[in-house]
Amino acid sequence: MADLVGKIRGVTKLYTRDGFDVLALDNVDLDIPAGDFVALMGPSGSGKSTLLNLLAGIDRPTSGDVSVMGTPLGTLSESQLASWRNRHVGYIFQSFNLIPVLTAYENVELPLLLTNLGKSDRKRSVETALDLVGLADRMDHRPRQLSGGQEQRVAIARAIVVDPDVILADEPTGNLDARSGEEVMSILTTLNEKLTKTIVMVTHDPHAAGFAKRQLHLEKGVLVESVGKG
Amino acid sequence: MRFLNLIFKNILRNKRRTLLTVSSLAVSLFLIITLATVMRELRRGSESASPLRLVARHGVSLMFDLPESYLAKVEKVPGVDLVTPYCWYGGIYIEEKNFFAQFAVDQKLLRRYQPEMKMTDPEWDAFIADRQGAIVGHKLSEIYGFKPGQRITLRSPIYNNELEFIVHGIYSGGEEKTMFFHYDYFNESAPDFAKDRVGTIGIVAKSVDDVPRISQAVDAMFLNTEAPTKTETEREFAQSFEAMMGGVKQFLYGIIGAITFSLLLVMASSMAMTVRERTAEVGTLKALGFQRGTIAWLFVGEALLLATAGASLGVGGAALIYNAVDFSLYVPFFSQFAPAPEALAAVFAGAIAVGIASVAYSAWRVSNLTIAEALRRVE
Repeated sequence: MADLVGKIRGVTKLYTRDGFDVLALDNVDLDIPAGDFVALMGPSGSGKSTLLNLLAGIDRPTSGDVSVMGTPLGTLSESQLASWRNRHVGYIFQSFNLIPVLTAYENVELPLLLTNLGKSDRKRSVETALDLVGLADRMDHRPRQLSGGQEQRVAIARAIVVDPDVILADEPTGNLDARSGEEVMSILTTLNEKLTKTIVMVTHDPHAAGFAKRQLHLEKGVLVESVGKG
Repeated sequence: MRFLNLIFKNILRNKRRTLLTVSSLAVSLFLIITLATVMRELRRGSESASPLRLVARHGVSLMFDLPESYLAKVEKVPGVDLVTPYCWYGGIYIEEKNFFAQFAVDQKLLRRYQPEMKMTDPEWDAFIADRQGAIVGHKLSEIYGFKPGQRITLRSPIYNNELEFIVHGIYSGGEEKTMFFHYDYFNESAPDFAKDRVGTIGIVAKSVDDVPRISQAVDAMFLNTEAPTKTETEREFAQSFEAMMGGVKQFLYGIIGAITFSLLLVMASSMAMTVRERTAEVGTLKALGFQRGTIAWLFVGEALLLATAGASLGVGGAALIYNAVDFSLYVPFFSQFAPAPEALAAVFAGAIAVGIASVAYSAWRVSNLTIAEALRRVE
């Protein structure tokens, strides 16, 4: 594994919305070492989600470079980026974004359908991922039959099933009650500490951010503060 | 194949919509097959015509008849194998609704004139031997229950007379909803205006090469007489009837076009709703690494499955029903009512094409959204 999972250099992101230019990120530099657990914090519109999307290759910077696992994302085409994302990134959404007609098992299996794995290998990986988030007994349940906390755990299983290099989580506890949020954060911590997964998490919640090894604060597109644990 | 489960589950996501879409597709395709079959039957006369047969009729109109004496003259034209009178009787059987084609012909030559008509030798012999003898097509016997030995009385409003016939045979092949009887018997009881006259003259040429020469020779022979002739091949003769329905054919084509277009709109509207509802999921799938093309194919696959289901029901149902039930028994003047295999295949393929066309734009559009745009559409 490379020493640096994420490397951001001089990244600026400018949006044009309704005829107005909006500066989402302003010349940001950031290094994310392997095994790090970073919480990106800041007020709404500070550029947290934009930074997360740039790391996921979901969006492209206006200027500057983003490299993940040594791959400069700017050199990849849309199609290459999609394949790269499938292999290297696990993405967790605030509102879970599970496919409602699929069971928990089928939702977790989705990213594996894009790989060359055979059915039995996929089954093994899905069962391992669901077991890891404590939902081995809920495989045949559809999202509607699960609680919000369980849905987010299925989404985490889906994010880790391809064994990604980096997990990106956008407000993973934002739609959950305190207890479910605690469970989700506990799983993310386990993934980071026991399985050495690098995690970058956007959150408003100081309590959730407390689980991270570092907290980065963004304001008006600029990194203003970095706080380490302990 | 890996995504088949996802496609199936997406199709069943809104069962009512799927059911309505497939049903409207099936019913529309059934209707298209029905109309295409009607058009096929309208053309059957010309398509099944023999290349050796010609028909000579009055040069002015089919409404006028020809002198019987023409038969002997036409017979002498080089290349002519045989000639037979062919007279439309227009008789009514018991009630006016019981109307079917009846022709007075040369009973001895009918078998050679229309070799496609199949009947046993004893039946042919009995028919020829009895002045009042008649033969009926298999379908006609099914419709009216005609049986050998049965006496049939027909009343003709054209000749203002009644004739009694005895059925001596049931033939199959050719026009099976027609009755044939002796010209001599018909001529004997004909009123003065129709005595020794024939409606048309059926001619069989010795070879296909003789056909154009016979046509020209016959018409030239009677050119400056009180009854000039127009001699044409059986195909051309049948086509002249079909030409009279030219407007009907255009109308049917128009209906088929309109149904196809409305089908496209129904499918497109259904698929557009499907795509729109799932725009957010497209964002999710893209975030998981799904390619643009894969996402577009997921939607196209859905439309294909819907179209295949609708086409299987509509086209398959039409093939099954029209082959199991002979609707020509209930539709006057159609000797058959069977959809052409090529029409079934064309309509099936058309349905698949409509399915793809209905989703192409929506699928292309949604698959080209960025992940952020797609996710935003939801919320």
